[in-house]
Amino acid sequence: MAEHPLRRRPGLASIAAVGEAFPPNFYDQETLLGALRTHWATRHFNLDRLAALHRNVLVGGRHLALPIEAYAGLRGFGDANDAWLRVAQEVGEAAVRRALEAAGLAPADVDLMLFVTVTGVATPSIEARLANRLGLRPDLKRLPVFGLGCVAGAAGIARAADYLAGHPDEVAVLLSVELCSLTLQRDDLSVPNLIASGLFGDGAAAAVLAGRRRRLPGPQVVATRSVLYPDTERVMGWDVTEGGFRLVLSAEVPDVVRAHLRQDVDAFLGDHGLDRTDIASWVAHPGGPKVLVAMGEALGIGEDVLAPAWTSLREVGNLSSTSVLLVLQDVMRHHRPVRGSWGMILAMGPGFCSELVLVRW
Amino acid sequence: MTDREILEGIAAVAREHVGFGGELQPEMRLVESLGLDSLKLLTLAVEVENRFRICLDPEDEAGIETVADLVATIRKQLDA
Repeated sequence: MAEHPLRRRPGLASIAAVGEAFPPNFYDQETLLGALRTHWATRHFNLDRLAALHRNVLVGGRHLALPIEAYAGLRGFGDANDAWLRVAQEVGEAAVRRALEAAGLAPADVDLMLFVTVTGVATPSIEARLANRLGLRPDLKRLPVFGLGCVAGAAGIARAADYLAGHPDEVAVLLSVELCSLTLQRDDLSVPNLIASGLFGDGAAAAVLAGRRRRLPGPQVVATRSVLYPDTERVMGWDVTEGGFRLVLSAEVPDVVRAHLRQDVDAFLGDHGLDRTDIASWVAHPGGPKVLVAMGEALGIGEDVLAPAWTSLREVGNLSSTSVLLVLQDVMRHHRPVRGSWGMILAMGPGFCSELVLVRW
Repeated sequence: MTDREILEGIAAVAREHVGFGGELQPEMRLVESLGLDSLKLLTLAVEVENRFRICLDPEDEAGIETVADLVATIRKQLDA
């Protein structure tokens, strides 16, 4: 059989390494549940139903930005965002240091830093503050991105690779920090927010990408595809209120996955002469059990194929944009596909939208 | 509490928590007539439990299709 033409073509960039960092406060789900039950009882009658809702997200435990007893002392958005600013720098710095060390690079090697988050706001943005802490170069190009939500991990890899395609001698670092617990609205005891309080966790991940002329080893980003679905603004997102970020979450997320993902993936792969059977590894954002099941059905793949995503969900919860990078790191370390095989990194998020990244391992 | 009062209580919950603006009738179907998706059905159940201070039986709940079914399930819990 003739060799696939894309195998010979140089990639847009290589993903040299991924590093992660978590706040030190880890709680198993039952401990978190116990703490929340008292608060729920101020408004809700059937606490066992809410506990079941929490257990149904299949998360075993989560890291929190703050010790659990500190959350009651947050008086509003200002307090929560101040905590976000402090902890985001701590975990962000640690994640970048780990990623650079794993890639064999120093902070002075970084040409572009792309920072993604949807859980806090800062000006100067986090990557500017980290430039001082890490000793990044004064001519560092900075690109802070707020608002892509869960899709930003995959989109960040795609945009960093797009940039490096035009700057093949350079190094880009994508940093994702999501401290979802600091967005939790304690006065919002609606069902979507109750689900969120069981699902989302805190942490950071950084990916080091290098242009093709740097010749760093790692999976090659070969092509990327963004898909925005019309008239889906209220499927997921934030309403910004005096208290901070109020969750918008509809039941339609799995339906959107089932309606669109297969055809979008097939069209993307088809444009590169590939189909789903060519993909040896799927690195998917673990949005939640229903979303992962819908992804598996849409792509015609078994739960075992998405096992790294399920494992990440179980171990640390959904960390929004950070999660897909954690899954990628796990695959790079423990489930690395055969060299030369095809892989997909994919996530969906507010818009509603998909981001698809074709890689060659 | 009469069935009429239970129906009025459900109507109040539907207005306040799942955005149903019409006249609630016993024969209406929760999914098809009220347009409730899975999150809104869950919200309706949680808020009905809050209003009537009851815990719906999961087996009974699985069989609820119409507003009248919900009234009967609430009645059963109130009389228990």
